[in-house]
Amino acid sequence: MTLRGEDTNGPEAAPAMALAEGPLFTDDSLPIRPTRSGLARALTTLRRWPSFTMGLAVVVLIVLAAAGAPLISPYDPNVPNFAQVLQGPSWQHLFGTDDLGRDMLTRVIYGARYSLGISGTAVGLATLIGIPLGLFAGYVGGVFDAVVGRVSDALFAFPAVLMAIAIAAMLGPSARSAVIALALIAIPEFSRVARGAMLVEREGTYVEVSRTLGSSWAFIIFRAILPNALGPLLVLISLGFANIVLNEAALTFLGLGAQPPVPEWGAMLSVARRYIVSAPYFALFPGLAICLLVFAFNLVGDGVRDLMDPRQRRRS
Amino acid sequence: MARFLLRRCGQGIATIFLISLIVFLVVYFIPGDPVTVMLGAQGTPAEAATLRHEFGLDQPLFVRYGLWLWHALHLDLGTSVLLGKSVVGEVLDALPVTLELAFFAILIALLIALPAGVAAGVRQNSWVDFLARGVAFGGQSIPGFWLGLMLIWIFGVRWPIFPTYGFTPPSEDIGQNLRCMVLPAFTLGVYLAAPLTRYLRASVIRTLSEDYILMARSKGITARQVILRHVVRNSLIPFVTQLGLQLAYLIGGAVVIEQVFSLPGIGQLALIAFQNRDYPVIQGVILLVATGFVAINVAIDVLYMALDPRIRLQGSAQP
Repeated sequence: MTLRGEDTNGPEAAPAMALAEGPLFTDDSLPIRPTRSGLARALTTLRRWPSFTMGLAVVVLIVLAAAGAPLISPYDPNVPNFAQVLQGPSWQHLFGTDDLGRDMLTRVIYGARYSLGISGTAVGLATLIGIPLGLFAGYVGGVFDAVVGRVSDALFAFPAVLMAIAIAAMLGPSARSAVIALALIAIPEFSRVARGAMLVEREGTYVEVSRTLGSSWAFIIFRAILPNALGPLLVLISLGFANIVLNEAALTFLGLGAQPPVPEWGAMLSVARRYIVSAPYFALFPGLAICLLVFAFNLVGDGVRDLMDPRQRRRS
Repeated sequence: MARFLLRRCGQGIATIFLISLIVFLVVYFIPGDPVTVMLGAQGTPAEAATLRHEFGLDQPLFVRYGLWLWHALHLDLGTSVLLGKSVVGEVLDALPVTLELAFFAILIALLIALPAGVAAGVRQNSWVDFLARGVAFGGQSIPGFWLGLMLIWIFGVRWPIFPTYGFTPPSEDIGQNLRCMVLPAFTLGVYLAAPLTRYLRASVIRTLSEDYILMARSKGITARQVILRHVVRNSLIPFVTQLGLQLAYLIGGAVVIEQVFSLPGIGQLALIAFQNRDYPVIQGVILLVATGFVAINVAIDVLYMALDPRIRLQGSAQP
């Protein structure tokens, strides 16, 4: 029996002991600290990781703006005003107007709904299918791994946008086709990274110890290995979200996603491209909106990486 | 090693067959009739039947797949319905444009990512790290097609320095060819450099916290040697995989960038083919590009094994 926090067998043995006896540390550093409430811990974490906090705050703000779009938007996103086409930014229209005289600020705010909705659904599907598949394949190996690997390779061998074009052509260009295409593009990557993380982790001494103790495969994968592989997977999900937002915008830019008059950021840029010489502001703001959302998800992903790494956490 | 290579190549071939089946079925299930598209409203049923027979569209599904595969194995991917030229010829015309774009984009990306990623990882939380992370964050958060549009506005409209659309083959005018590649390659290169820098940085940081680095330091190896021989080498393992993953994104990105800069590459060929239901071109482009990716994936696995002795040993120990 080992005392908690006493590391007699080197760092590799620590997770195995954690399995047998529960978490080694109840706090960030030493077990002798009194346990604080979840809220207090969350606040400390947010204070300690300002870039993560900023990313999270921006994501939350954009989600709130998308949810409350009808309340905060100054105009109707779809009603044209031919007296005011392609106006630059002004007090009346902070982001200017588009080729049909519609307020761009309003359309950019409404655009968040489509971007978050389509990308979020695709990320959800990719996570629920890709990660368990990759973890299991990496753990069991053999025929199952080979089959998953080949199908994943086959799907992976399609460049994302080419595959999305094929799916959009098959299903007809729409937001639904975009979700299916984006999820199918992401699944092989999610499963491959999960499998890679599994290949690294399954060689760990703690897995051997867990196996020796007679744990079931489900326990080993989901209770022993998953927490240790969680860092790269959470980073994958948040960065995957960022990538999917970008891909979704690209698909719509090519005319394969949500169709006009839907105020979607990529669709707005597709129209704005025609007016890049006469009205560059038209292309500026939807692009900045995509950048902001993707930037925020990238900050969250990077923050999660640091947060999930106990060695990084202890050093700070 | 030889057994691993053989097995991996066998897997690659199996994957290509699987892709060919997926490609064939995806195109088969695309709604709409190419014969109707070709003939337009004036076509008679008799003409349609003749054309169907000519293209083998009246045959059962598996016969069509078998015939298509057999011809594909002989590098005959049919004739473009839209242009009447051979698909292989069409692809070979478009491929050099995409490859040139991809080559310059990878070059720009590696020139940015390798030094920036290692420096940021080694000097974590220093000004170098903040600068590299900032630039990488920015680069990764910018949609390629939007960056392309902004570059067209800045360097094509406001200060007309570079051509903003079209392609001049190097055989015609090498200077003009390079000039018309600057904006698209930079756009795509930044798009690629950002995730590579971030990934290499994360990888270097992870490697630095490994115990064998502590061991190497305690043995008295100089900091420079530790970084070059242990940190960089071990960090390159996941980096190589990531580079492979990014190559698929690169071609995906190239499809969009070609559209923005009106470059007559593979992406534009595919997009026009899809818009016009040009089935043979769709199938040909996807099959050829996908086959290229499988070959890259196999090469990466072999590289991965060569770089990591643990995987090499495990690979040779397996039956």
